[in-house]
Amino acid sequence: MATEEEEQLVIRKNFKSLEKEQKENFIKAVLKLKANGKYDTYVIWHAKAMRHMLKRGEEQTRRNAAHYSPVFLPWHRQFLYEFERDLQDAVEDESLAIPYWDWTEDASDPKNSRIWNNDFMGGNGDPNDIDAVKTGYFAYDNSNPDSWTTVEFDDNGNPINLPPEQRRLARAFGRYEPNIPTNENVEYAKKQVPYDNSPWDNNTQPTKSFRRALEMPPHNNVHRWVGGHMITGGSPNDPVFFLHHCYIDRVWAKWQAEHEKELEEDQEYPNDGSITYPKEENKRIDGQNRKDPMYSKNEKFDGPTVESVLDHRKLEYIYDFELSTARTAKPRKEKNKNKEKERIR
Amino acid sequence: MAKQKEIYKGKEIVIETNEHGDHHEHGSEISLSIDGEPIHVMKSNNRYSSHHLPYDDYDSVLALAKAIIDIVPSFRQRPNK
Repeated sequence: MATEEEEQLVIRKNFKSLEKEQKENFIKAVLKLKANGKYDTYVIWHAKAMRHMLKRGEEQTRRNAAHYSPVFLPWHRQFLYEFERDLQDAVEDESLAIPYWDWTEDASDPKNSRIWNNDFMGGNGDPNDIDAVKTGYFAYDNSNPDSWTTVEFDDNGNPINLPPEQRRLARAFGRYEPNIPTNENVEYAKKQVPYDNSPWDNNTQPTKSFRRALEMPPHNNVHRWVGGHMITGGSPNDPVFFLHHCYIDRVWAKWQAEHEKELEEDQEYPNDGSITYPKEENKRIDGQNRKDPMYSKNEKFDGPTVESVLDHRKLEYIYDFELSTARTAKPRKEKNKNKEKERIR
Repeated sequence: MAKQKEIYKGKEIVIETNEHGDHHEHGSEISLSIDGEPIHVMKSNNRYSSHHLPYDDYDSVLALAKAIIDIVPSFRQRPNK
């Protein structure tokens, strides 16, 4: 049996292990979030974070408020957490969890992964029609005013007003990156300690930083392999973004579990105040240190602190590998009903 | 300032670089525009990238501009001016 603690948590699983009804519920929630306008707020939030560069002077870096920097994993953890909560609200199901796509399982033949089935993420784009996705729930259909359209951006990250037929979801499997990362690639990243290192960006040595070794190339290469919107700053336009990042978050959770006993606290995440600009040791880099609020939907560093998301269990979810048994916990909705019954008695 | 212009797939790429040949973000010593629209450019490790294509980098600003035209859906789906 799942423990009492596990019964209180959302359990994130491999999409391949979902029941038909669970997959349908996830898709239904995504479509509802799109229809009520909340889905697009995540696309805009991500695009704005990508455009919020964190560099000083002549520093040559790609560091921004959510990528190529230590906060890459904490920021996306918070991003997924808020998205998951909105999905739960959309279908009134507190047990709904974002499933993950373990792309290493599909590395030998990613184009034929079950993730692209029409009853889930839909298929590749049409190369003869600017890579527009034509199958599944996220294909644009000009006869259906509610069909899936994307958010496009100007150079400042502001949405631009284009007609719906110019906002079709695009994919181009394997065109910009021939290979999906393998399990060996992920295991290599997981061996790296500490969590991160100076200069706290894309120039950090991957042998000295788990974050850097996981972010690039493995994380980046999945974005590039899917292509289309996934290769742009508006990558959450493609719902597969969330399944990809759920797996990235799971790899981090596994790294934390596997290295927990051997690492000092500052190796699990740098001590507060230690993430500073390389040539200015007194100048903290915004939104990166343990006590710093992260970049939020308000386009400011006023979100939850980095520290608040380092332990994902505090966010009331776990991954399948953390279950004490193979048995799944009861859905929270069902549990709540039971509690209600107890109160009535 | 050195100015480079090229039409690629019907879209006008303009790259302006300072006389010293240094490359920085647009607004300082390098600027890129496509069909008159300013495009963010950054340099790291002698390679160029943009938040329009944040998961990749390119060996020149021109290669980056062409990739944006080839890849970014809003540029591809928009008719040429």
